[in-house]
Amino acid sequence: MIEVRDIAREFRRPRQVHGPLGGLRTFFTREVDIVHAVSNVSFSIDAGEVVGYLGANGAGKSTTIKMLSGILVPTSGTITVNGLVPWEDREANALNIGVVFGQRTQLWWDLPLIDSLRIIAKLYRMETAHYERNLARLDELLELTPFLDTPVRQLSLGQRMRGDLTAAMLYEPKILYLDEPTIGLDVVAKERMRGFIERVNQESGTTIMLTTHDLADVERLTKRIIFIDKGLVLFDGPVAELKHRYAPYRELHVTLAPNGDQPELPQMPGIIDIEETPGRLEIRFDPATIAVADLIAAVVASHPVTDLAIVEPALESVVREIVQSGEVRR
Amino acid sequence: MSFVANIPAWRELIRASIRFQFMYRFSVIMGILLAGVTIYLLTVVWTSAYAGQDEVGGIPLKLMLVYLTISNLQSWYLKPGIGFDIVDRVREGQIGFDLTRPVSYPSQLIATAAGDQLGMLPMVVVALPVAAVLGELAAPPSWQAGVGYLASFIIAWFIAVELAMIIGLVAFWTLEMTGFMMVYNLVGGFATGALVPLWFMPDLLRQAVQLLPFQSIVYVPVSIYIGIPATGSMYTAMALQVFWAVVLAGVIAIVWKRALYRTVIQGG
Amino acid sequence: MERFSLMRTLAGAAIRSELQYRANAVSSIIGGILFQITGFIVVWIIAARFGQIGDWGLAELTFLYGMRLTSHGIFYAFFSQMFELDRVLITGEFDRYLVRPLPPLMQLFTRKLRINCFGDLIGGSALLIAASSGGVVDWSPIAVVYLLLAVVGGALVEGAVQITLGSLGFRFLQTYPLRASVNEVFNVYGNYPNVIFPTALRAVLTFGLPIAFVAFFPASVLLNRADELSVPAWLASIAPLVGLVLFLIAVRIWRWQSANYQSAGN
Repeated sequence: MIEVRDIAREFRRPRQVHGPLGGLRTFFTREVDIVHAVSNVSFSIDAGEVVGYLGANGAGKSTTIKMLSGILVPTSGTITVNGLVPWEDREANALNIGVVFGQRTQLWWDLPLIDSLRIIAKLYRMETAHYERNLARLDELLELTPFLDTPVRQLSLGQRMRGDLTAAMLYEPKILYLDEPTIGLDVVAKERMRGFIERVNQESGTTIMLTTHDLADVERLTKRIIFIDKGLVLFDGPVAELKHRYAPYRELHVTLAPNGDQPELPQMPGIIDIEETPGRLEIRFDPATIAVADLIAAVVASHPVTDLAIVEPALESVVREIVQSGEVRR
Repeated sequence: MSFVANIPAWRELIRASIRFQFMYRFSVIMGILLAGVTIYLLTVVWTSAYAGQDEVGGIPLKLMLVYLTISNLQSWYLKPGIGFDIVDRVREGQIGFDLTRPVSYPSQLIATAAGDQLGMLPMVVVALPVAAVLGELAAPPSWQAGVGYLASFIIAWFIAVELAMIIGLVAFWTLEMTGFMMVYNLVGGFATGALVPLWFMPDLLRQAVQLLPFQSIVYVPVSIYIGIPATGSMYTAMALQVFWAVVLAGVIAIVWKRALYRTVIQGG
Repeated sequence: MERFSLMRTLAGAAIRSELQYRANAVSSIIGGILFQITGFIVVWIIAARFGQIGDWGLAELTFLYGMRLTSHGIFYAFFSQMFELDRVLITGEFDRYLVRPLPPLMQLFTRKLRINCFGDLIGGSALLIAASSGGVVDWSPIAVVYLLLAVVGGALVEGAVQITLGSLGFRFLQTYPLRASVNEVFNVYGNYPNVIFPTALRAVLTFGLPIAFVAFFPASVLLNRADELSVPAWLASIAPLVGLVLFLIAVRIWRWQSANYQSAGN
C-alpha cells in the first residue's frame, strides 16, 4: 500500500545576518543553513496495517507524514502510495487518503460543522446517499449530533478533533494519516478516539499510520512500530520485539511487611539493578540468566514479603532509553 | 501617579519600539520606495497638467513640486502604527496586560509612537535623496519659515498620533475595522492635502476640508515650509493646529474613559 | 466543469463565512467605494482645474479610471486572497490545500471573499457610465464585448503579477511587502495615461511591469487614441489576450515553485 525508498528531505533557510541592515541582507543573502530533517528512510506498509511512527521531537516524523501525503516534495528518494506518487499525482492521491493534524483543523472556522462536512463531501465527489450513510455511521461512533450545527470556532478541542476525524473518514479513504491525534485531549476523549481508530481499522480495513507522543496510543492500537531518530530508521518491527531488543529484562516488584528487616540480597548473576525504598524493592533482572523462580525463592528466604509482581518494561521507558542512548542495536 | 515617576516606563517603551522599527527595516525601505513612487507620479502628473505654463493661480510649478515632495515625504514619515497596535492587542486579549500596568495606556501609546518616530529618523537620511531625485526639494525661503515648519511639524505629529489613537480605541467596541481603517486612510490621505494642496481644491471641497483636523497634519506645516502659510500667517496656522490638538485630546479622554469602563466593567 | 462546480462550493463557503460579520460587510463596501473615490477626486480636481492631464480630457481620464477600477474590482473579487498568502504559508494552512483533491491555488483563491471588491466594481462601473455619457466612446456591440474582455484581461494581468511574485513565497515566506508595493504601483500608475511618462519609463510600465495592459492600452483603443501610443496599435488591442497569456504563465511558475514549499514547523 505504501512504499518508501531511501527518502531524504533537507530544509534550506537563509542564514540570519546581524548588524546594520541585517534584515535586508538576510533577504538577499545566498548563504543558507541546511537542516536534514529526514536523512534516509525506507519502509513499506501493507493494506490494513496500523503502524505507529515514533521518535523524539524533531526526529522527522511530521516531515515523513507530509511527504507521504503530498505536502512536501522529498529532496531524494521515491514514495508510492497505492501506486501513486503523492506530490505528482496530488489530486488523485488526495482521494485515497485522509489526514488529521492534531494541532490544526481542516474545518471551516466560521461555519457550522455540518457545513464543513457537506463541503468535504462535495470536494471528494460523494453521492448524497453515500454521504448520508457515512455521516450516520460516523455520528454513531463519534456522537456528533449535539454539535453538528455549532460553528467550528466554538467547539471544544475534543469536539473539534471528532469533527476533524469525521472530515477525514467521511469519504472512506484507503489510508489514514494521523499526526498526534490525541494531543491535548482529556482521558475520556483519548479513549473515545482510540476506540474509533480501532474500529475503523477493523471494520473498513483502513491502513493507518499514526505519529504520537502518547505511547498508550501505540500500545493500544498498533502491532508494528517504526522508530526514527535524527532522520534515520532505528527500528521497524513488532512492539514486542522492540521491547525484547531494547529492554530484555523484567522487573520484580516486592512489597515488604511493615517494620520488617531489609537485609541486603545475596549477590546473584543475572540481577542488573536493585532499587530499594523503605518497604519496597524493585529488582531488575535478566530472565535469560536467572530463573524467575530462583530469584523469588532467594528474595522470600531473606525478606518478609507481603506481595510480589513481575512487570514488563513499559514502552515509555523503552523509548526513553532508545532516545537517550541514541544507538542502534541489531 | 506622578509624571516624573512614569518617565522610566515611557523611556523603556520608546526604546522597545525603536528596536522594533529596526527589525522591520525591509518594509521600511519598501515604504520609502513607495513614497518615492508616489512623489514621482505626482511630479509627472502635475508637470503634465501645468502643460508648460510657468505658474497657475499664482503658484509656480517648481513651488508646487516642492510642496508635493515635502508633503509626501512627511506623510510617509508620519504614519503612527499605534491604531493597528490597539486593534491587535484588543483582538488577542493582550489589552488586559496593558491596562494593569501602572502607567496609563494612552501615555504608553504616545511613548510607543514617539519611539516609532525616532526609530524611523535614520531612514529620513535614506528617504531625502530618493525624494530629491524623484521629486523636487528646496530650502524654505527664510530661516523663520524653517523654524516655523519644525514647530508646526511636531504639533502635526501629535495630532497624527491622537487621530490614530481615536481610531484604534474604536476597537474596544467593534473588532472588525478593515473598512473603517480604509476610509480613514483615504479620506484622511486626501484631506491632509498631500495629493492636492488646498489652494487648488474647488471652493466647496476646500471649505469642507478646512473644517476637518486632517489638514493640520500635512497641509499646514508644509504651507509654512514653502512660505505661503495656511490662514495667512504661520502663527495663526500653528494656533489652529494647537486648537485641534487640544480638542482631540479631549475626545480621547472621553472615549478612553468609556472604553475602560466597557472593558473593566463588562469584560473585554 | 466539475472544477468550477467545486470552486463554487468553496466560494459559497467563503461568502457564508463572511456574512457572519454583517456590519463589517457594509462598512467594507462603503470603505471600498470611498477608497477609490478619493483617488479619483485627485484626477478630477486636476482635470477640472487644468483641463487635461497628458492631453487627455476629463471624460477620457474618467473612462480610464473606471476601466482600471472595474478591472481591479474583478481582480480583487477573485484574487484578494493572494494578499493573505504569507499567513497561509507561515501558519501551514497551505498543508491542507495540498491534501485535498483540488488545485491548491484554487483553494487559496476561494479561501475568503473580500467584500470591498464590490466597492471597486460599483465605483468603476459608475465612472464608466459617467464617462460614456460624455460621448467619448463610439459604442457598438463589438466595443461592448471588447470592454468586457478588457476588464477581465486587466484583472488577469494584475492576478498574474501577484501570483508570480507570490510564488517567491515558497522560498522566502515573506513577500507581502513586495507584493503590496507592486499592487500600490499598479493602483497609482495604472490610473493615469501612460503618455505623461518619459519614454524609458513607458517601456518599463509596458514590458517590465505590464501596467499599461491593464487599462491604458484597451482604453486607448476604445477612445480611438491607439495611434498615439509608442507601441503598435495591434499590440494595444490584444491587451485582453496578453492578460490571459500572462495569467497562464504565472500559474505555471507557481506550480513550478510550489515544489519548494517547506510547510510549517520544520
